[in-house]
Amino acid sequence: MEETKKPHLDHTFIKRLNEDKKDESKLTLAGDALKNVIIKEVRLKDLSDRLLLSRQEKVTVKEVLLESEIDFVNSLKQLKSVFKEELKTAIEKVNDLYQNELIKLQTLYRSEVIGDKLIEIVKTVADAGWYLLMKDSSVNLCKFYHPAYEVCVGVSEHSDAVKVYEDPVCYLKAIYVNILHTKITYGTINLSTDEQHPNCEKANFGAACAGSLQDRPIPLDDPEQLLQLLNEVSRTYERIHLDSSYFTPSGNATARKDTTWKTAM
Amino acid sequence: MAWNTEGQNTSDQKTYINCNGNKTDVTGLSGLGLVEKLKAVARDNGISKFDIYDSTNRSLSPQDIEAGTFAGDLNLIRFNAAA
Repeated sequence: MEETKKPHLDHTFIKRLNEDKKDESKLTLAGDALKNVIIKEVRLKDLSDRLLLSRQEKVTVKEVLLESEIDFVNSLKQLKSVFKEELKTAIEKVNDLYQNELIKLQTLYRSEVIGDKLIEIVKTVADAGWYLLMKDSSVNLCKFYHPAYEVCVGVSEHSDAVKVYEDPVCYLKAIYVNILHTKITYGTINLSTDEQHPNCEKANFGAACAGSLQDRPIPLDDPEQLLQLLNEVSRTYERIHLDSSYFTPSGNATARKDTTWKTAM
Repeated sequence: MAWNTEGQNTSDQKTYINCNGNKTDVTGLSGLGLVEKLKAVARDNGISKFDIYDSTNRSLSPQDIEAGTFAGDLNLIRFNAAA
């Protein structure tokens, strides 16, 4: 009769169980499988994994000492992360406040510089056909003529006469007055024309000679007076001043006495 | 209809001369009187030569003013000569 033998205990089995987790945990089990008391602190998960990997239905637990301790390192780490979060929130809050104040300041600045006063000017002059136009480094009040204004009348103060040309000398399309200038000077008034205006340096677009408008202040502080000045400007270039022009128009014209109003009439 | 003790103003329409941003009430003036008033306003504003336009932007001669052939307020614009 064959004798029944006790199964051989494989001592390397438990050792092999530990091999794959060697680096992550300091848990070392004795060669004779969980016989020794675990005295080192281990993570619950590690312990649970080990127990599962042992593939035994029952294990003998000699002693489990469960202690709750304050983990200073982890607490400090947590505190650090909380502080970081709070600091981040505070910085964001300060940035938001800064942005808010910055926008408020910008709004106030805009209101002062191009705000109410400019809107008042634009409103006042708009009724007379003048519009605000910003171009390159100039801020202009412009009057556009649509259709283009036929410039047919020439005035001569020397001869106290008015010449009315049969055909328009030029067509006035727009007048630009640069309101960044404090006074009217050469370059303040520009004319956009078809054909050259006799009082303008160039055809198509160019600086107009200011003539008696020279050195007139541009009153941005008084929209009504500004409008008056603009009206004077437009009237001036809707006709030709023949006494001092870049060229004398050669077309046929009829002459009549100048009936412009004079205080000493 | 209820009685109105304040009376009825049938000519509410006022006429002004606009010059250099100032308004001069010339309601009731007409003919040569208005012509002279226009010149006086120009003198007060240091203007020696000027044009007169009505509210329709029509250029007016002294004859037009004298005859009363204009509409609305009068705009006095200084005459400028471009160089």
